[in-house]
Amino acid sequence: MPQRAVNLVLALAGVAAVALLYVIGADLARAAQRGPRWKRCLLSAGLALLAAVGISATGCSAGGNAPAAAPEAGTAAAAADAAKDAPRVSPAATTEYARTRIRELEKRLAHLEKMEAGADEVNPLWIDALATSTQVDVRFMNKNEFLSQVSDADLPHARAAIDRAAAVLKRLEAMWARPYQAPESPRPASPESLAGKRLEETDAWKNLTALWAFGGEIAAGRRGPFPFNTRQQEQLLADLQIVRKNVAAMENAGLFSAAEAGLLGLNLDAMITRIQQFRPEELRMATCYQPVRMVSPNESVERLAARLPLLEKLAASKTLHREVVEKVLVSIETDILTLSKEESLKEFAKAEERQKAEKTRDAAKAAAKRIRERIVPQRTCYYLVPVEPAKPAKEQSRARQEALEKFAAADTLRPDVLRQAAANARSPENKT
Amino acid sequence: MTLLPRRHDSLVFEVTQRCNHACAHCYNAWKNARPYPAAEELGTAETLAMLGKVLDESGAHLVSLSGGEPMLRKDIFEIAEYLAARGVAANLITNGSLVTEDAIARLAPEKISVWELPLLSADRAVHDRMSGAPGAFDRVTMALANLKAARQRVVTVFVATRANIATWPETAELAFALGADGIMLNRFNPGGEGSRHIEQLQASPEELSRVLDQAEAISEKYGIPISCSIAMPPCLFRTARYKHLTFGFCAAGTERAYYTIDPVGNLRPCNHSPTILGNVREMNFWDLVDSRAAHDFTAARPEFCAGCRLETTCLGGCKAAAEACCGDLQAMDPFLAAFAGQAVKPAM
Repeated sequence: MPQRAVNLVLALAGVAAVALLYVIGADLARAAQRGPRWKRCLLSAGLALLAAVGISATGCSAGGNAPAAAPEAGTAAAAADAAKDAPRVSPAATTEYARTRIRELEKRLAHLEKMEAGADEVNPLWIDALATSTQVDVRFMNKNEFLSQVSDADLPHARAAIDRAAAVLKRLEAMWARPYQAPESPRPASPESLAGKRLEETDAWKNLTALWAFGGEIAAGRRGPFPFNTRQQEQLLADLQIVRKNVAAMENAGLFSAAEAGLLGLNLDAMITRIQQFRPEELRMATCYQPVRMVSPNESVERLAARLPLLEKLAASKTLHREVVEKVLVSIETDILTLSKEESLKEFAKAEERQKAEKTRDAAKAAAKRIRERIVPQRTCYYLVPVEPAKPAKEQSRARQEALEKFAAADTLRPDVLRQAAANARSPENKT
Repeated sequence: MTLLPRRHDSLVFEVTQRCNHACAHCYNAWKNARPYPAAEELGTAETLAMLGKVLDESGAHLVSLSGGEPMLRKDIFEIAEYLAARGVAANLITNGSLVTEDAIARLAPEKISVWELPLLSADRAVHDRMSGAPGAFDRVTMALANLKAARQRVVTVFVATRANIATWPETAELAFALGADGIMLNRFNPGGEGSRHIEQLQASPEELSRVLDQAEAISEKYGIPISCSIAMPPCLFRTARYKHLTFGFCAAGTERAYYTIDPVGNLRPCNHSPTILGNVREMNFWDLVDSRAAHDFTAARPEFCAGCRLETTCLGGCKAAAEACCGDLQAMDPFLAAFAGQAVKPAM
């Protein structure tokens, strides 16, 4: 019987007991204060027990309903599991049930690996359900009770899928356990802070880049289904709203075009919406049963269609900012890729829906291609070698002296050359 | 009617065809198998007049003084002074053998923006052998040290060939130790004398990729800028993964195209190309740039590259090398041709 039903039964039993006492006229308050001590203790214990049962029966707890994680190999729990397991019996053929379980595990594995890579859209509710159900599978399918339904010929394949799933879950666990270290909160960008600067020099752009990467990780599910606590989520959303407003400020300051600003804004809005869908850690045990929503290729069409006018404007604009374009093209190219796969296009039930998807995809692809050709790679002049050092002069001076010592020891240089080079490296004024 | 005056960024001026080194990898057009007019240098006044004319017409603000060995010209100091007086920046590409303290004293006060010297190996014997000149290593390292003592901006050039590729990391470290402000890391580009030694000199994409990996690490470690100015075709090298290196491609057709003037005024599309577009002493610079020959040079692209996403940026590598080695602008860059089987064109 499921745990939840047991809890409910106990709670109902407790309520019935209290009602019975009331009906027979027992004055619980008086009984708690008067009478022999043993009677009062028994009554208190009984009420406490009812309270404990009642609390555990309330709420819709995925945590409470979630199966325990598969015990780690080599642990006492794993040994206990193995001890309870009957020996494997080798069947003549793999049962239909076992085939279905293996097939389902492999499908989930494909999604898990995509999630691990941070590729594609991930629904936050799906992350939890996917990981939890895979844990159940790994635990159960490792037992001889299941493996006795798999023939000897199919056994290596089944074990490989189970092991792969266990490995992915372990890696996800490590990924999700990383400490939460959000970038510095941004300030609203004033016109003065943007005037006369290149895009990459402004604090507004640096904040955007840092929060884009951090928020993107969370939105892609790479920090798990409960990536923050309430305070952290509120702060992150507030920071992203400031970044969103700063995009407009940067556009007004002429740091990028309206098309670039528009595309950045759309992506940020999508990220904010996605982050809002994640529940904070405090609500982990309060997660109710929710239907799992699969990402549909139609969403790719809608996203591309929303971005297409801006993308075409961008492709035709005279100036492109590589840093901006690299950011906004990622999601566009991902959607183009999704709509280039037959398995995605097959999901469009009607022919006209499929045609619309292909037309939108092709238009976006053409515009993205024109943009890509303009930004990657850059031509530089043969004789214009960049000579701005990337490290402070003192650090370079020390490093030069150390490097010279190596060449001195190897007798590479003529003594007068070494002497002059060493003097140059030591001189604090030796800068061009 | 044009509202804005046309302008070209920079020019290369080969002040002399003479050289006191004999590098096997030399690309100079007059060393090609195809005949190239031997040029007696113009006198100083004529040279300055020619320079003045082409600078007035082109609007260039940078001239790279090259050769041969430019320091062999006694009037190199006057040429540099003339350019400085006009407010035109000058780079000096020299093998360093004649960069004496006296020469530096005459040129150092703000006449030369960047000095480019070859440092072909940290191994004295390898550098000397590649230069075809005993003592070359000691002279160039002394020149480097003296230039840095005079607070000049110096870039070393490493031409990656099979002869020196194994010494690249130490050479880069030596360049850094001697105070170089940047390193040009160029794969051997066949042409001139080099077209006769392709097999001995041309390294493979695998070897060059290792060099790039090492360059990335060195640039990150020391903060020294490293630039690959000879085209590294993206179908053979995953250039996008190098965060610390810059890559150059053929600039033909852009305002940064390397139009090159030889000692007597013949204009070529670039310093690696043997094609003469005309003479700047007789014709307007822009008439030569807009000529059919210049257009053909800019438009040429090998059939192999058709359909590649980066076709219009990479332009098929170095078409001048194709022209110098195969006599045909439409031919493949010899490096690309040698390793085309390994090429993977970047997809959309």
